[in-house]
Amino acid sequence: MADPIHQFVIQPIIPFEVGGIDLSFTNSALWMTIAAVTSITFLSVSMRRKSLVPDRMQMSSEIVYQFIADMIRENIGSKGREYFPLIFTIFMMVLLGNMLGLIPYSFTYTSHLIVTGALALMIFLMVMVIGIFRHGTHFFSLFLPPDVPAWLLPLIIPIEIMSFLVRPVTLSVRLFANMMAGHIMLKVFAGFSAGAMSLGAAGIIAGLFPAAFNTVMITFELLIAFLQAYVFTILCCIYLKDTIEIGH
Amino acid sequence: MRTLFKTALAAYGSSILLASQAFAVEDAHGLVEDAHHAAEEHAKGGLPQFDPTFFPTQIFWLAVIFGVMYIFFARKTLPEISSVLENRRDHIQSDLDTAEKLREEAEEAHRAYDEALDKARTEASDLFADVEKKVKDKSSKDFQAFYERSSKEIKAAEAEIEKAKADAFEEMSTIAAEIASQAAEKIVGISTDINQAKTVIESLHKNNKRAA
Repeated sequence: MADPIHQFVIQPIIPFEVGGIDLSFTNSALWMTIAAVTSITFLSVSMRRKSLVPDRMQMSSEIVYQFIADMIRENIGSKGREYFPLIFTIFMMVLLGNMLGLIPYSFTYTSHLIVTGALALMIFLMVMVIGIFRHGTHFFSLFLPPDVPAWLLPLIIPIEIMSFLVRPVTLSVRLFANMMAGHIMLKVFAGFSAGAMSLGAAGIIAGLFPAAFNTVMITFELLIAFLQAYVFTILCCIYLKDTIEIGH
Repeated sequence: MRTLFKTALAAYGSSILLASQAFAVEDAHGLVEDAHHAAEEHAKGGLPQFDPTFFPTQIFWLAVIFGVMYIFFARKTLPEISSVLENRRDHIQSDLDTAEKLREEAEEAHRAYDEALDKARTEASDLFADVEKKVKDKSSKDFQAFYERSSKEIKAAEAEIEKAKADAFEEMSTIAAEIASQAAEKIVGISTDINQAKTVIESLHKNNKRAA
């Protein structure tokens, strides 16, 4: 059986170090670059004509734009426009990471906790810094839900603080775990197929079943890839809302 | 176009299927090597995701590429799309405005037309009433004039007849007096004064008239 974990191994392509820190250009960095080039190229090429009546390419770019714009308007409000480029970039980065990862032999950078963790931590720190900068001490009323009886406060406040601190963890682990689990499952079933097919004629027939299952699974994984990008982005929106207004 | 798209989709699907199997087969070939690798990794402590060797490089390249994407999207792509959308919204709005204006103009024209039609209708009925009145007036005036003239003429004619009648009576009484005097002369043989006879006849006549 092929090792289903092998697909997550980082392999340096162009090794280099800066001040003793390994900053090699790895397969992970390569696929991030591919994601950046793909998204930038697609969005630029599709918008090159800027026509009043869009063609299919332009329409799809506009749909992505509208999708994110609506998400921000609904979850942050009209003041959330200042985060539009940030949210858009997060969505493109995660979506393309998930989607490109489904191409066989590719690398899924969103299946690495350090990557999803870095994105989540960035949002977390932004919420903290901008929130305290804008609201001052009022920011901490985030941990004080209104209409709670006083005797419950000793219990509620630690819970609220905990749920706030745990945000980057859940945000990053959700995406990482979903991506990793899906990819391992695909790999395991592909391994069943390969194993069965190496056993001769009967094995080839038997090996078609896991392959068929994988065909269904990859469709499902496409849905998961989109859904997780959506969930990640919408949660970023909800967290960033606290920098605009403290509302319970 | 649609068929092409479907074909492409089918080709994509089957290529995924084939590739995923090829992927697996290749891995099956590299089984020994993988096992070796896996052993090495397991020795290091499980998943490659938790191997801190590559944490700095991942964070570094994520930051670089995220930054590039952010700058590109913020500077170019998003303003581009937003300007296109705004342009389209403006265009549609201006089209709607124009349509609204045209509709108002059409309504205005319709109202003016209705007004003109109403005015024309009133004018026509006024004119008609006017003409009718004039005709009536004229005919009644004409009738009046005719009536007056004819009654005058009738009166004149009556007067003439009366005069003729009186004259005829005068003559008749003269003739009667002459006849009476001549008859008296022939029968009785006395000559009579004609004027006396006349007076007698006239008195008779007057008596007659009174009796009548």
